[in-house]
Amino acid sequence: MSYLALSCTLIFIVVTMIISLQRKLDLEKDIMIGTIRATIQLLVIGYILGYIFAQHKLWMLVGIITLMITIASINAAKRGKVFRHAVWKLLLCIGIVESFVMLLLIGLHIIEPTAQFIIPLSGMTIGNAMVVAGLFLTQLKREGEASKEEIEMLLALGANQKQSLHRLMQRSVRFSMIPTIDALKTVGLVQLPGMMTGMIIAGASPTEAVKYQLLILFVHAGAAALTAILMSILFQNALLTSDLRIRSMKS
Amino acid sequence: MSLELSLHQVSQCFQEEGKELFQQFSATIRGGSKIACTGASGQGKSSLLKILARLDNPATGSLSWNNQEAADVPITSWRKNIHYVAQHAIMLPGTIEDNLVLPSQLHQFPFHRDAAENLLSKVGLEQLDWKADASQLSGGEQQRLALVRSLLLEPQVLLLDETTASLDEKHTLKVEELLRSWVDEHDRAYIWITHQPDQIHRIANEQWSFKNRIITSKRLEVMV
Repeated sequence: MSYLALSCTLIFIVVTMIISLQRKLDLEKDIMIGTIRATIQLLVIGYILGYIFAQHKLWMLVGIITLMITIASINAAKRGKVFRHAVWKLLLCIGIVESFVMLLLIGLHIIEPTAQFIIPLSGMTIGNAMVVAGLFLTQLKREGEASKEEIEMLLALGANQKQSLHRLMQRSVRFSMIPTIDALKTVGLVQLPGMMTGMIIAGASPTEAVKYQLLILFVHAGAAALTAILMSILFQNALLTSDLRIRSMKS
Repeated sequence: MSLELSLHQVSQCFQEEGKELFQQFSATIRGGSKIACTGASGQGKSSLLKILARLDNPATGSLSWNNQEAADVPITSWRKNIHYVAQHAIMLPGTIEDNLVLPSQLHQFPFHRDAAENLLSKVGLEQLDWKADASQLSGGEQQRLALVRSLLLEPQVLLLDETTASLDEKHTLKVEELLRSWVDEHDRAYIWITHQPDQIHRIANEQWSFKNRIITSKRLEVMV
């Protein structure tokens, strides 16, 4: 695709901004900033990836994945500002998920151990883990406020930490998995996933594109479940003190 | 062994402002103690009960249970023995049966259906369908069910936060009778917050009055 053709697609953005202006939605500024940011970020990452792919250096690969995990953790932690050490816990959680997925994919020879495969798949895995972790923290915070009386009732009955938070954690895990499960149910029926569409447009055969898309879907589902479960373990003590009292949450 | 729950110079402050809620208070609760806590709202009655259940920490002072410092007693065991019943009954999402078996599930002891049925009949809930959704019960029914659930925990001391506040007179008297006999027959104790002056002499042999940040204790004659 030529840069001229790509520029023409900005018409969609212009139309959106006009609608926003007409309807007084006050979204023009956000749309403009978002468009500029997305363009710069993607162009920069495109050049960086091209450079890294050409270098074949391990430290560069590790560096960029570490950077991805850090940005994802800081971003997801914004959803859980009330919880102590949220960034560190997220770094650990997303780090474990990313390591697990990559070890599995490379160990089972599903993908080649090259930057060309590892970086895009890591981006998808880390991005997905970030969304799941963010949703988990949103729900955990909501549950911590809404279910305070239920937790106190269980504590008063002599429940231990696991018993008093079991239902709440279960609800938070389920909530954080909703987009992943919905995507699994409707893929191919409602939406053709981005990666598959991209491969087909780039000239790959649809069956080959489907194989990769299935790989991504399964990896996403597994990584999402692992993220949610790890989050429920790491944030087990976020709501209760060590002597099993309800911790006050201050934003 | 007869129970003994002691408070040593316990005081509490408002969490946010740090202002004193009530001054240092010492007392000992023994088997047979039936204590009524009285006083205007906001004087610290519920706070004291939550301190006794170790759901809150006091600003100063300490607690002991059968001559053991509170810190030496595992928290889950403490709360099983010294149990706080909240003012607003909270039902576990699920059926009435789920709520009744909860104490035995939490502490892994066998559930005694007969004991549950007996307690339910004593508080006027013998007609309940155990498979029904607990959240569908009326406020008064939930409060009585929560009390039965608490008794099935087999605690030594019950901390009752206005436990008959949403009950009519008939059921209030039933609950009072059940709890009095529970204390007398098993040599246990309760501390009961009440705002009903006529109830004090029916339920208590001791009164803790909360006024102007001071708690005073006096003996009473139970008159039923």
